[in-house]
Amino acid sequence: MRKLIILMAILAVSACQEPAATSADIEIYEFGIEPSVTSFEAGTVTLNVENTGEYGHTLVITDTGGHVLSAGSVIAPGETSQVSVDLAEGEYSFTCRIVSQDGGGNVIDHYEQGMLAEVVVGAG
Amino acid sequence: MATRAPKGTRPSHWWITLAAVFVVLSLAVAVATVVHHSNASRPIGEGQLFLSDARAGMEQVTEDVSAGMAPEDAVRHTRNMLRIEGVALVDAGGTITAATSDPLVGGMVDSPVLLDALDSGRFGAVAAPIDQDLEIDGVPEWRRGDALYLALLPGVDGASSLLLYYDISELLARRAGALGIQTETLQLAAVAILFAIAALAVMIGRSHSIQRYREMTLEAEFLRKESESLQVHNVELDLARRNAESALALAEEKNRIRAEFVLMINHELRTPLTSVVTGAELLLMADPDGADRYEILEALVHDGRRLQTMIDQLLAVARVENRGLSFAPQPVKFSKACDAVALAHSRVVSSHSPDCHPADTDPTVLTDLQTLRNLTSSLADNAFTHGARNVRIHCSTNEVHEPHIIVGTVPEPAVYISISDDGPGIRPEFLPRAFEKFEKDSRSSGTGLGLYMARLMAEAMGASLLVWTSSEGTTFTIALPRAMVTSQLGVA
Repeated sequence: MRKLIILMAILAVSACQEPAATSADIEIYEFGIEPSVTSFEAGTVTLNVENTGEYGHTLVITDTGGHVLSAGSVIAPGETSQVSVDLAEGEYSFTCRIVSQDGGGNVIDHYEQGMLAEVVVGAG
Repeated sequence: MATRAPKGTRPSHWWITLAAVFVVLSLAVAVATVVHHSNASRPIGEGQLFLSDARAGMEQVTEDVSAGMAPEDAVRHTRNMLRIEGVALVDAGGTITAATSDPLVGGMVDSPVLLDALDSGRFGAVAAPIDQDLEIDGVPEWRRGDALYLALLPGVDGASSLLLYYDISELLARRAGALGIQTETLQLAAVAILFAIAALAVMIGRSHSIQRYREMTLEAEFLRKESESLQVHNVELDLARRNAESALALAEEKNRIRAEFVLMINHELRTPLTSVVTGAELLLMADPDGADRYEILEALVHDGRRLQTMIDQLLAVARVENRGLSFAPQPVKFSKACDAVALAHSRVVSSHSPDCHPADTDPTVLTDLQTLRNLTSSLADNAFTHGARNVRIHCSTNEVHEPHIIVGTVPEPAVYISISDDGPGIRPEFLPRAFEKFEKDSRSSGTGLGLYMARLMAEAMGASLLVWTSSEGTTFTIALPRAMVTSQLGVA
């Protein structure tokens, strides 16, 4: 009886946690990046990136030290791109690193505008 | 009453106000610091940096080329100035015409972002992998697929556009390596800390001020108590001084009385003694006879009696003062006391005839008949000594005259024995001193002991003396206490 209670408790705790993934869908737009999950297993992670916005965007993956692990080409509006990257255990940032100028001469930095998502990679 | 420190030493409210101002400023700046840090924590991109570098680079390249420098040299010069990975010039068609890395020359710009920048004539930048190996100054530095940040500033009026190459990892690492706190945030935090230190310093200063104030209050309280103690001592010293002055005055008074007594003895005793000696010598040497001899002998008897009286009074006073009066009070009918007084006078002062009228009622008095007789005799003798020709004794249950002076406390109830004379009276200014020892009027021929002795006897009997005097005579009234319970006293 006691073991059953402990097992149920473990299951209940596990049910509350987001399961670690090896792949995710990521939506990018003006101006945001929304991954379907934010916790991944260490190893090769496959990301299906869809630009649902009206302008081109990129997906740049960096670690906490600023090192670039992946910097894909520009994804045109409405297009989907698949990115595979090897991620070790740690924390990473998904960003868009495009800077443009509007008709008024104002600099629009997509990263500054909020195209940032933080994810965590745990042990496999 | 609490004692406060002197004005000017009390802690000022300005210190409190100042400390409060500093605390408020510190809190305000601290809040501003937190808000600023929160705002500064938002993502900060590189767009402004790229644009600024691109404009400076374009200006530099244009200046160098205008100065006759080859485009290849101009881009290297500009790269070194900007301290970035590479610089290239791009024509309107997107072809790289000059670059710090030779393999780039002739290549095409293919990034949609950069091409859009070329087409629109507006600045653009993008992080993207490069499609070929690159070197810097001939040294291979970048491999195909490495990510670089490319920023393109289109040329104006058909001039070449400027393409800048950045090491994106270096840029991001530089940002991530920082404390994550902007300089402005640190400055604000420093100001908040300075205000907090200032407030703390003010409060510490105020604490010292309050401590000093408390110390001064305690000192003031101590001084106040010392002052009060000194005031008490002053009062005590003043009292002691007055007592000493009183003792000195008393001693001087006694000295004066003693000196006067010596003078009196010298005069009152030596004068009759000299007269006696002279008379005796005259009898021995001249041997007079007849009337002269009788006159001398009469003078000798007179002076001898005078000496005897004087000596008797002195001895009586000394005896009373040393041992007190031998007083044996007895309940006696007032009429019997009056008879005893009258009989005594009819025997001693036979040449005069004092009258004695018993009272209508006959209460009982508590007295010693011998002392009462001595007292009345003393007062009667005093009257004759001072020029009275007639002395009358009157007994009454009621006081006859309103007295000018009362010696002692009148007993209640009392009976009264008055000794009245027809002498010249007592001068009013002398009356208060008349019952003191050796006090006598300047015109008196007495010893100054008669009334003093009378006072002692009256006090011993619990009686008092009432004096009424005028130029036509004096009345001394003895107020004797009545016996309260006659049946229990066994009246004689």
